[in-house]
Amino acid sequence: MKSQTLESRSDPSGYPFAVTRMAVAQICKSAGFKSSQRSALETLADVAARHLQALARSAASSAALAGRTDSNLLDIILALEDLHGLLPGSSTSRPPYSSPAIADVVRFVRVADEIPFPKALPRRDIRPEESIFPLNPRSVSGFLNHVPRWLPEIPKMGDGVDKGHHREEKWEMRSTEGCCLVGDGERMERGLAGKRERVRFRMGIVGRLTNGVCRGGGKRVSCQSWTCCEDDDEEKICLKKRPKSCDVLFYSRKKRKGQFK
Amino acid sequence: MNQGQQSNQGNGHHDDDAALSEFLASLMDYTPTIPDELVEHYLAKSGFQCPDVRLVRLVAVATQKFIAEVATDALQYVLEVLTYTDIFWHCKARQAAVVKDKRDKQQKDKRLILAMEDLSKALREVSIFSVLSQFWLQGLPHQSTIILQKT
Repeated sequence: MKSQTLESRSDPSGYPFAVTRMAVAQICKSAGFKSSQRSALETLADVAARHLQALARSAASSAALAGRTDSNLLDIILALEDLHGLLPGSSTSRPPYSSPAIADVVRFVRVADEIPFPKALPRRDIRPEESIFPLNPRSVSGFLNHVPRWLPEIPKMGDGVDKGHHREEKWEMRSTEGCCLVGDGERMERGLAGKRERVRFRMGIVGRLTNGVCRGGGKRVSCQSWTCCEDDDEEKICLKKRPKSCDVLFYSRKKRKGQFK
Repeated sequence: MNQGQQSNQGNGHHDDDAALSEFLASLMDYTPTIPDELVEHYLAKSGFQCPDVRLVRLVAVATQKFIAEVATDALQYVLEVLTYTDIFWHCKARQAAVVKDKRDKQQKDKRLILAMEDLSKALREVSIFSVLSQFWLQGLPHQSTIILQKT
């Protein structure tokens, strides 16, 4: 490998650098120093930051070389050897798990005293929260935070009734008359669009359901969803008992003397 | 990858694996000085991705070990100079009272300062070469340091 001349340093006024400096100062104190020159401390903190990044970069590239995105222990061992030079008994001749690089680290952990960092760092998780519900625009703005997220988003309502009113009305406040048929019996596109599953809750003994969860004792609230038939006229909705998904909510209640399968 | 070796080593391989998984478990007890959040920041900056916390701790501990080694080496250099100075002064002032010894020790403690020259000597041992242009840039602070890393 050729030598790299690194002239740009980490930004000494940055927050991560300040934290690194504190950690390095702790390590120096545990080594025995009582005080230090500011420039020396910053240099050592810079070295620490570069060491971290070099390890990470090397491990990431060796993982990528093997077609993986996540690095594993092997990648780190190889990165350590790459950085610190080959000692007798390294990965070239022996299996990497017994390399001296990792043995040194093991020895260090066993021997050295634990020096925790003095201040707690706030953890700021930038990744968006993993949610099984699709991200509604409503949930992004804080406007309708009280509405539970599993409700579908507010559909676009037609202009029919509200043309006269030019003020915004909350969906919950809207009277139900507005949702009826308007005009000459033409059905406007009110309410939720598309054929939706009807959800029915039933409380009590649900021994009939065949998925393994509903067996056994106790009272449960089961939610069955019923699919509407596609080929019906608008007036009649036929309920076919086709439980597509059964979300069983466990509701504990006093045990009733019931008989169930 | 390990198939050919497994037939040869057999037991040794299993031992290493077991020892390493034990070690990784013990890592969760040992809190490295470099906090996890900082390490994760630098790892993310360099493209390292790993859902396993133990590997993050491993990297932190490896860095801590490295810095501790550099610091210890620098301390040795400082102590060397101090010891020789003390021996020199002791020889000179042999007629002086014995009480002075205690004060000397305290002064020696206060004088354990991490300075650039000792640090650069220690870093040279790990093949990090820093050029201190202190000859002609006397008053200027650390910006004059250029770090060369040769591997």
